[in-house]
Amino acid sequence: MGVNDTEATRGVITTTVDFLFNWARKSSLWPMTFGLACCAIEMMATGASRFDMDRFGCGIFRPSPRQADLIIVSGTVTLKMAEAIQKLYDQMPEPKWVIAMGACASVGGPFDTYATLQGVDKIIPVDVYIPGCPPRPEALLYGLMRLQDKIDQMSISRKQEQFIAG
Amino acid sequence: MNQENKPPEPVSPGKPDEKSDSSGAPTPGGAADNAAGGSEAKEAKPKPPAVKKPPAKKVPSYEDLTDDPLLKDLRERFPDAGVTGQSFLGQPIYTIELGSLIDVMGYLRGSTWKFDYLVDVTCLDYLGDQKRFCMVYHLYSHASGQLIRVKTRAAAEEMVPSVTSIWRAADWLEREVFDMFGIEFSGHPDLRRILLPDDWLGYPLRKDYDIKLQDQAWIRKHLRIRKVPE
Repeated sequence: MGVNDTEATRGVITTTVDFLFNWARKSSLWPMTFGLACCAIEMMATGASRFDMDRFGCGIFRPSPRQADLIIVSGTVTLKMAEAIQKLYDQMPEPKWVIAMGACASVGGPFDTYATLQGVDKIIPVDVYIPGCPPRPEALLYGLMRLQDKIDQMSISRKQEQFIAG
Repeated sequence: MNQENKPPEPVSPGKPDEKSDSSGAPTPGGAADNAAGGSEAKEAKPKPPAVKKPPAKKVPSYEDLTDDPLLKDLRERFPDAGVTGQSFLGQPIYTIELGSLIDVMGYLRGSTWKFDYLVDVTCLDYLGDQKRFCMVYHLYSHASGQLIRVKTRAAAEEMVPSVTSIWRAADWLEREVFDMFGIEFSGHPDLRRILLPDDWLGYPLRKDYDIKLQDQAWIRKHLRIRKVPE
């Protein structure tokens, strides 16, 4: 992107369409309220005033999956809840991203038992994993920024599936 | 200030607690003096407060109940129930036969003992014993403030009489025991799973159910497991 300095073209910014789209998408990631367990408290703390997630554009939590483009799975995913998560993920419109926050969402955490899904990536594709039990708000913000870096690499000429690992 | 010359004092619970502290926890005798005499800093030399050795703690164990009025009462009224009594850390535990469970529970609720609050119903699995399951009921009386435990043994596949007719709270508590152990309760108004999904197979808290075992058929039916990225 270049800002032209000559008198004739001052005030003209050249950019690529991809850059513009990626900037728009990463700067207004609207997450869905999806706090399941203890990590939800840390997510609320991140959304609150001290660690303000809103300055990244992610402050508006949408209650409906139809209006959200990010799902932060924060907390232990039980098998009963996994059904619901599948349904909600399917209801989200493209482009959509998933952050697995905490140990339980990443790999099942300390609960390797009969009713816990060992990692939400077994049912939905995850973009960013944030380890921690629970991860500090700074860690969640770091994960969010890494997701923004990932969005930077997207291109509107290719489908989103090609940018998801696996 | 002379305060700075003192070694850091051990954190003591504070003087009011010492009076009510009856379990023999160590209270450094010197610390109280130091705290009270802190204002006399001028004359105190840096000296570690005298710490008493804590008395050897008695390991808690089950003891037989002696002279317990409830035990006597139950033995008189229900001679066939085989009532035995123990106590653990002051809580009385009564073990009875399964056949007289309803009678004894009804008596405990209805009589002057008035155990009107069924706190919890749970179960233990002694795998290998002939009477494998041990039902545990915790009862509390609001009037007298007593909390007791009633235990009874049941064999596998044996129906346990339900106490929902005595305490309505037993409805969900027994559903949880059914969900986790597979014990069926006769006379229960609505016996079905409460925590696990309705079509789950297996009873997880039994000792022969592996901790990591998941009902793969249920998972295949309800979840779409995608290939996990390498």
